[in-house]
Amino acid sequence: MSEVIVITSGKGGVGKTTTSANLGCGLAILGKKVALVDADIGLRNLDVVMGLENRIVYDLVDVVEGNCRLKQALIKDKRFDGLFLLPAAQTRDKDAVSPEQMQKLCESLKEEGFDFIIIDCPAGIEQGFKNAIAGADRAIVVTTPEVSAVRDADRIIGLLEANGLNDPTLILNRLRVDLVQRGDMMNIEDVTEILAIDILGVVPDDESIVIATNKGEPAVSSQESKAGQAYRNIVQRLLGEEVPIMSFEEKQETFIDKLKNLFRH
Amino acid sequence: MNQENQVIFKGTKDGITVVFDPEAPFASLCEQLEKKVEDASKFFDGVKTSIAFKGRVFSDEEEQKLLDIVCSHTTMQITFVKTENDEVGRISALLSKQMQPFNLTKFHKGSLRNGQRIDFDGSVVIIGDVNPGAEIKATGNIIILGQLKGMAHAGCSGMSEAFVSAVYMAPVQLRIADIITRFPEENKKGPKPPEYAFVKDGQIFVMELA
Repeated sequence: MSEVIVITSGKGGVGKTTTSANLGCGLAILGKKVALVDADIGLRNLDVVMGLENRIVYDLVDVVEGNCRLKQALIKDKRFDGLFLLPAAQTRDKDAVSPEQMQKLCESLKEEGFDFIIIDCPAGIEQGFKNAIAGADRAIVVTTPEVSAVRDADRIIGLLEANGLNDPTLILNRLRVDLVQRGDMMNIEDVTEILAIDILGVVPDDESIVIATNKGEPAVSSQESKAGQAYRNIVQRLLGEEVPIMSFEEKQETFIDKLKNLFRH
Repeated sequence: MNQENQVIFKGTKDGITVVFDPEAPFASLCEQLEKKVEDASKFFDGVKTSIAFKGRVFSDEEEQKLLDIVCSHTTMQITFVKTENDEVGRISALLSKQMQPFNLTKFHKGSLRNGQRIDFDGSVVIIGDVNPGAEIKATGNIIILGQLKGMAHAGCSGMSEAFVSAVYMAPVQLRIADIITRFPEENKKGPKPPEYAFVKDGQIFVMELA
C-alpha cells in the first residue's frame, strides 16, 4: 500500500524541505521504500539538502514531457537503500507541469512499488501548490510558532480541505523552548487552538539542523540531535505507532544545584 | 364563435368557476359576464362562495373589473378569488423576498479559515470559529457559535438593525450596515462571556449577552 504525502506550509522558510528530507530519510532508515519528489520547479532545494545535487541528469519536467523514463530520473540516495529523489527542474517554472500530469506521475510512482511518496511543495498558493497537492493522498502542514506562519497555515488547511485533502496533520517546527517558557512565543496549545487539526509532531529549534542541512546530511540520522529525535518520533507516528510528543522542558537549575555545581568543580 | 360561450359558469364543490374564452376581447367578456350574472342574479342571491376565474390570465385591474361586475349585480358574498395568476405563489414569493434578511439563514458547520468567505443574502450562523483572514458578509444577522477573529459584516446591504453575536468576540474588524469599527485590542484578550454587537445612534456597541 503506497501513500502520497504532500508537505506544505503556505509560507516560505518554515522548513518544508528540511521536513521532507528528514521524513524521507527516517522512513528509509526503517526499511521503507521512499520517493522524495521536489515539486518546487525553478527553485529546487531538496537535492541540495540531500547532498545529491551533483547526480542530477534528468528531472521531473523531463519525466512529464517524456524526455526520459521515470526510472532514469529517480536518483538513488547515497546513504540509505530504498530512498530515491525525483528532483525538480531548475531552468523552468511552475507552469511547465499541470495538476493532471502530477497526478499521473504519482500514479506511476505508486506502480514502481514505493511505500511512501513524499512531495515537497513550494511556498505560495499558486500553480506550484496546485501541482504539488494534485496527486496527494494526505497532507502534512508545516508551520513555525509565528503569527504569520500560523495564518498562512490556516489558509493552506482551508485550501487543502477545499481540494478534498481532509484532515491534514500538523508539524510545529522550530519551537524555541526558552522563549515559550518566558511566554514570548506561541506554545503548542496556542497553535493547535487556532488551526484545530491533529498535531503530528513538534520539532525544536536546533542548530544541528542548520549544520546538517549545509552538509547535505539530514539530521534524522544523528542520534545526538534533538530535532533528529523529534523527526524520528514523527516517522514512527507516520507508521501508525503511538509516540508521545516529547517534552522539551529544560530543567530549571535551582540555586542549590548551582551551588553544588560550584563545589563540584 | 358564439358569444354566449365566451363566458361559462360552472358550479363545483369548491364554489363557482367562471371559464373565459382565451381569445375573445376583454370588453366582450365583460359584456357577457354582466349579462349572465344579471340573468342569474336570483340564483346567486346571498350565496357565500369562492369564485375561480379560469381560461385566461387577467391583470389586476381586469380582475377587479370582473369582480365589480359580479358584485354590482348580485348580493353574492365572495370569500376567495382564485385566478390563473397563481396568486398564492406570487404573494408567498413576495413575502419571502421581503422577509429574506430575517428569514433565510445559512448554517455553516465547521470553522472558516483564513481566505475563506461567506457572502449571503440573509442571516448566517457559523457553528465553529471564524479565523483571522476569513470574512462573513450577510444582509441579515450573523451568529457565531465559536470565536470570531476574522471580519464580520452584518446588514451589508444597509440594514442597520442587524447584529453580530459570537461566543468569543475578537474580530479584526466589525461592520454593521455602513458602519465600520476596529475592535479594541484590550477586548481581545483573556476569557470573557459571549457578546453581541449592534448599532445605536450611528455607532456600533458591543454588549455582553446576559
